[in-house]
Amino acid sequence: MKLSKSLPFRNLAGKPVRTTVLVLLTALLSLTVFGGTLMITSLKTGLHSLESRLGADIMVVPYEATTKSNLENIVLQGATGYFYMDNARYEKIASCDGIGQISAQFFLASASSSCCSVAVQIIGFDPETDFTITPWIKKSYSQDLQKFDVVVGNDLNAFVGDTVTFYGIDCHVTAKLDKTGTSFDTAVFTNQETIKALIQSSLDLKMNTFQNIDPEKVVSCVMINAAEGYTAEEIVNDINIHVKKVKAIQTKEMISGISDSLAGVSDIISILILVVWILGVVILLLAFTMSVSERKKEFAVLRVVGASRNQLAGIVMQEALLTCLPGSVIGTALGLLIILPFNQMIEEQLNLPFLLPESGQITGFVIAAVLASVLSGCVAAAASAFRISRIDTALILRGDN
Amino acid sequence: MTLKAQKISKEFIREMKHTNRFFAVQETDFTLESGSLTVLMGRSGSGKSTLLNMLSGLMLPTSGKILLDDTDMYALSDKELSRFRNQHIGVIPQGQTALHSLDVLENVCLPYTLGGDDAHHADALALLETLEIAHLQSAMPAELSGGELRRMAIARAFIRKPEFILADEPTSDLDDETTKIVFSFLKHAAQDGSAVFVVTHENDAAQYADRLFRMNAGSLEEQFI
Amino acid sequence: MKKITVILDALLCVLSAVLCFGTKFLFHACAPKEDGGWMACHWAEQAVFGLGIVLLILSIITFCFPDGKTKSGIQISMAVVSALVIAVPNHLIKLCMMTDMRCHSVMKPAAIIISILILICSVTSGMLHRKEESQT
Repeated sequence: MKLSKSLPFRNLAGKPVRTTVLVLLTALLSLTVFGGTLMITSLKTGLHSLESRLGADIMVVPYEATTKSNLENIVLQGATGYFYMDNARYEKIASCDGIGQISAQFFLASASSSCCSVAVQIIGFDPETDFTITPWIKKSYSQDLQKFDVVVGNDLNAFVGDTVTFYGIDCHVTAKLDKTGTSFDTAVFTNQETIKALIQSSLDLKMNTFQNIDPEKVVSCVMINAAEGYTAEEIVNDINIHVKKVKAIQTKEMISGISDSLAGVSDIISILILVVWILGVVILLLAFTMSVSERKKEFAVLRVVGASRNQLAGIVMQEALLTCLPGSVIGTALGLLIILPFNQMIEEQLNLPFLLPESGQITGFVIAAVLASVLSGCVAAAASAFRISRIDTALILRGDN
Repeated sequence: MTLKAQKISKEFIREMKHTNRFFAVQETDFTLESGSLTVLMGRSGSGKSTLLNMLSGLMLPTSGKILLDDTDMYALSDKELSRFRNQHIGVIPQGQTALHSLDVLENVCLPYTLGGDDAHHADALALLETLEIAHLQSAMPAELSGGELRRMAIARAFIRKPEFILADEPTSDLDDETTKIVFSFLKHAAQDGSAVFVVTHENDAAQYADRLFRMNAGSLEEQFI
Repeated sequence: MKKITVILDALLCVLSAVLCFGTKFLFHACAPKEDGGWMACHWAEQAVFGLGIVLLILSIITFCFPDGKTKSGIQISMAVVSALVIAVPNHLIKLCMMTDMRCHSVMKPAAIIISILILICSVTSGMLHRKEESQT
C-alpha cells in the first residue's frame, strides 16, 4: 500500500495544523540538540587547536608588549601589532637553566594599503630552531620555505600560487594552512630571512612605528619548552628575575581565561539543550495524548472492523514516526544551514576559538540528532499507543448514546 | 460456521455510594444461525447491546463461552480474534462511526485495507448503490448527514461478505423509507446465507425477523412469530 | 492552478526581494574604509544586488502570464540567474583578504543560501507548471 494512502498518513493529512506544529516541534528539538552539540564541540576543538598552535610552554616578550596589553590581543584575538627586543636578551634567556627548546619569532603587521585593504599579522620564525610553527606548516607544505615564500592562514583570501605584496616586496604564497579556528588563521607565516627583509623595507618606507632598530639584531618574542625535570613555572620565575625588560608568560595561563569563558558558554548551551528537550518532550507527550484521546471513538471503530490491539498501537507509533522523522531531518538540515556557512560569524560573535569538527564527526552528529529526536517523539507517543491498545471498545462505542 | 453463546452472562459493577453489582445479561444460551435474520428487541438498558458486544468479541463475558463452531472465541489471542472479526463478523455499531480522515469509499473499504488486503472498490460501489449513497463515494464524512453516515457504516460491515452481521440499532436515526431499505437489505443478506443479528427497538423490525427475541432486565426470551 | 505552485511563486518573489534588499541593507558587505573608499567586496555586493533585482522582476513577471509553459520558462531563467549569484561572491568578484571579515562571514553565506533556495524553488515550480500544463 502506498504511504500516502496509509491510515496514519491520512490521519496526519487530515489535521494539517496539528501535524505542522508537531513537525516543527521535533524540528526544534533536533535543531537544538544538533546545533548545540556542534557549537560545544567546535568550541572545544577550537580551544584544543589553540593549545596545540601556541605549542610552547613559555612565551617571552619585551616588557612593553605586556604593559600595552596588546600581547594577548595579538596572540589570541588576531589583532595586528609588533614589538621588538634586542638579540642580547634572547641570548640571556637562552642561557637560563632548564630550557629544552627555544626559538625566536618576529612580528610585523602589513600596512593596510599594501594588498588587501586590511592589515594582516606577519609572523616570522627561525627554521633552524622553530618547534611551534614548522610542524603545523609541514602538514600542508613539506618543503623548506625559500626567501620571499609565505604560508597563509586558512582565513586569508589568498591561495597557493598567488603573489602578495608587503611593503613593496612581492611574496609568493607556497601553502595555505589548515583551519585552526584561532587568530592564527588570519596570519601570514614566513622564515626569518624573509621577515627581516620585510621589516627592513617597512623601515625604509618609514612605515614602521619603530625607527631605530636593526632587523638583524632584534627578535619579537621567544618561545620556550621546558627541559625534562624542570617546570614551566620555575623557568618563568628564573627569566623574570634574571633577564631585564622582558616578561615570561606561561601560555597555559594565557588561555585559562579563554577556557573559563568557553566552559561558561558550553554550560549555557547544555542547559538550553536540556530545557528545550524537556519542554519539547512534554509538549509532544501532551500533543500525542490529546490527539489520541480526541480520536478514541475512531480507534474503537478500528477495533470493531478488526484491528488488533497491536495494530492500534502501531498506527499511533507510525503517526509519531511520520511526524518526527521529517521534523528532525528539517531541524538538523536547518542547523547545518545555519552553522556551516555562518561559522565565521559565530566565531566573531563568541570571540572564542571556534573550529568545526571534521565532516565525519559532523555526519555522526547529524545521525545522532535525527535518531535522538525520532526516539523522543516515539517515546512520547508510546504512552498514548499503550493506552489506546488497552481501550474498552464496547464502553467507548456506548459512550455517545 | 455457527456462533453459539453457552451459558453466558455479564455482570457490571456500578461505583455508587454502595457498590452495586448487577447482571446486564443473565445466564443464557443463544445461537446465531446462518440464513436467518434474528431480531432482538427490548427497552433501553435491558442488556441488548451488551449481548451483541459479547457476540462480536469485543466484551468478555463474566461467565460462559462463545463458541465459533467448537472454538472458544475468547480463548483466541487478540490477533487471531481481531483477524476473525475482520474477515467473518460485520459489526454495525451504534452512533456515528466514520473515520474522518478517509472519504466514504475508503471508509467502506476499511476492513480490507486494515486486513492488509487489496480494496474491492467495485464491491464497495455496488453496496453504496444498493444503499443509495453511491453519489457520495468521494465525500468526506463531515459532509454527510446522520442517515448517510449510518448507511456508510452498514456498507462497511458488509464489504467482506461476512458470515455474521451484528447490527446495533442500525436504523435509529433513519427516516421510514431508509429504514425499509436497510431492513430489506439485511433480510437479503440473511437469505443469501449470512447470520444476521439486529438489536433494535424499532417495532417494524419484527416483520422482517425470522426469529424474534425480547430482552427484559438482562433475561432473554424468544418470541414465537 | 494548484495551491502549491502559487505558494512557490509567491515564495520566489519574497526570496528575490530578500536577496536584493537584504544584500543592500541587512547582510551587506564590509563597511567603507576610513578614507571613504570601498573594498573589493563592495562590487560583489553591487553585483548581487543587481542580479537580485533581475530575479525580483522575473518573479513578479511570472504572475502576469497565465500560460504554464511561459511561467516555467521564466523560472528556468531564474534558476540560471540564481546560479550566477552563487558564483559572484569570491569566484567572479574577489572578496576581502580575510575570511573573517563581514563580506565572507555574512554576505557570502547569506547570498549563497538564499540563491540556493531560489534555485530549488524555481526549478520545482517550473517543473510543476510544466506538468500542470501537460495535464490540461
